[in-house]
Amino acid sequence: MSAFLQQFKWQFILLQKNNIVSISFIVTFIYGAILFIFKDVEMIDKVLVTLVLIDPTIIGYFFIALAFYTEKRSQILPAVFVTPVNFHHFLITKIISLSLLGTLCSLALVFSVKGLNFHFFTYTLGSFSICVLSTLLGLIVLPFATDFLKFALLSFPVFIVCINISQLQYLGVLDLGQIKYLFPMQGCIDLIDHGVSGKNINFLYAISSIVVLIPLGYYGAFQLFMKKIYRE
Amino acid sequence: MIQVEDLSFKYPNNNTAALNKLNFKIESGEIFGFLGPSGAGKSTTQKILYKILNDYQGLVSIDGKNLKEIDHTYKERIGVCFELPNHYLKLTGKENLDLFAAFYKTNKERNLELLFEKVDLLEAMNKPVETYSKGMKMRLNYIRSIQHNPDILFFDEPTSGLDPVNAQKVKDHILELKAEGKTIFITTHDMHTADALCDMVSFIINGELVTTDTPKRLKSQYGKEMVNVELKNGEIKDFPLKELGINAAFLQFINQKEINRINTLEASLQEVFIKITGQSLQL
Repeated sequence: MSAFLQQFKWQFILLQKNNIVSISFIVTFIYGAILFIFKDVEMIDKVLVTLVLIDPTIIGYFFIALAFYTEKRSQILPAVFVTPVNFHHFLITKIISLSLLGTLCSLALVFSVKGLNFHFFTYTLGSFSICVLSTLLGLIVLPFATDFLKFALLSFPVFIVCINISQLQYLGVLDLGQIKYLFPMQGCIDLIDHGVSGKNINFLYAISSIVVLIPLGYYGAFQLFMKKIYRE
Repeated sequence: MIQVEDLSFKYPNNNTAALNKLNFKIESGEIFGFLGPSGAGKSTTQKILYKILNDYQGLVSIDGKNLKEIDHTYKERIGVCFELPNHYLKLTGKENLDLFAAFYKTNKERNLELLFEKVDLLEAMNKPVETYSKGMKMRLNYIRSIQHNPDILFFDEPTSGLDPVNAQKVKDHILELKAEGKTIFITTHDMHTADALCDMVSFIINGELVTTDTPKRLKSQYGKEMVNVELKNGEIKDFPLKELGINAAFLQFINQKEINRINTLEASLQEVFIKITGQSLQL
C-alpha cells in the first residue's frame, strides 16, 4: 500500500476511534429523520440545502480543528514532525477523509428527502467541494487560536463572511446581486441547489470557483501550517 | 558523526540569541550528553538537529555533509524519544507504532513483539494507550523512537517517569544501541543518568556552551583527589589518593580502629555543573 493510502487509512481509523464518524452519522440521522418527516413541505428543498450547508460544513471546519487540537494537547505533532512524513500527504489525507465523511452525510440528507430523484454528480461535487473548502478554512483559522474555545470564538466572523452571507442570499433574506459571486461558497451552493432542484446555474462560474479556490485555499493552509505550527 | 561549528540561532522578533556559537562533535558509537537548565537552548539545538529549524548560522554536518543540503530523507535516519508521552490515546500501543511506521520508507523488518517485550509491554501491546500508566507510555515513546532502526538517536530525559528497574533497563538498552555504533544525543537534568551513560557531556547556559569534556575528567578536575576515611569512633580524616598504599599516616589511621566507611572525594557531575556554571540544574 502506498504511503498516501496508508495515511488515508490511519486518518479514517482515527476519525472512527475518536467517535467523529459516529457523531457525524448520529447528527445526520437526526437531521435526515426530521427532513423525511417534513419532506412534503413546500420549502423542503431550501431547508435541505441549508442543512447541507450546516452539517458537512461543521464536520469539515470544526472536526479538522478538533483533530489538530487533540494532537496538540497530546503533544503528538512534535513526534510527527521528526519523522520523514510528507506534509502534503499528512494534510491532504486529513482534508479528504473529513470531506468524504461530510459528503456521505450530505448524501444521506438528500436521500431522506429526494430518494434517488436528484442530480447526483452536481450535488456530490457541490457538497464535496463545500466540505473541502470548510476544512481548508478550519486549517487557515487554526494557527490563530491556541485552543479549541478560542478557535470557536474566531469562527463567528469567519462563518458570517464565508458561509452565512451566501446562505442568507440563497434563502432570499439578502439580495447581493452579482456581488454574491465574490463569496467563496457561492459556487458550491449553486451546484447543490442544482443537484436538489434542477435550477439553472452558471456552471462555468461554479466549476471555476472550485477549481481556483481549493488549490488557493490549500496553498494558504499549507503555508500557515508550516510557518505557524511546524516551525514554532 | 555529528559536527557542530559556530552554531548560532535567533528566533524572529527576539534580539537575544537563543544559541551563540556552539561547537561540539559526536562520533559514531558515542553518547553525548547535553546538560543545562530549562531555557538554556537545549530544545533549540535539538530542533536544528532534527532539521525543523533551518535558518541558523554556522555549520551542522552529518557524516561530513552539510545538514542544510541533506534532503527530507535525513529524518529516515533519526529517532527521537521525547521527554513526555505523546501518543494517540484511543489507539493501541501497536497501532501507534504502526501509524508512525507508515511515515517511513525504510521500516519493513520490524519485530514488534520483540520491541514490546524489550520494555515489558508485550501484554499491553493491543490495549489502548489511554489505559497505560505514565511509565508504560514512556516505554512506548522509547520503542517508537527505535522501531525504524535509526543511526542517530535523540533521547530527551530518557529515564523520566520510569521506576528504577525500568530506568535501568532503558539505560542498558541505550548502551546496547551505543555498542551497535549508533550516534546518541541525550538531553537530561538527571546527572546520574548522564554520568552512567555519556562518553562526553556539554554544559549549556543561556545559549552558550560552558564546557565539553568526559564526565570522568570533569569530576576529577573539579573534585579532590583524596579519600575520606571515617572510623567507628567517629574520627574522620582525608588522605591524598597519590601513593595511598605507602602513606604511613593513612596506614596508621586505618589500623588504629575499625573503619566505618571510606569515600573518594571525587566531585559528582551535579557539583561540577554548579561549580562551572554557578547554577543548579533544577531551575
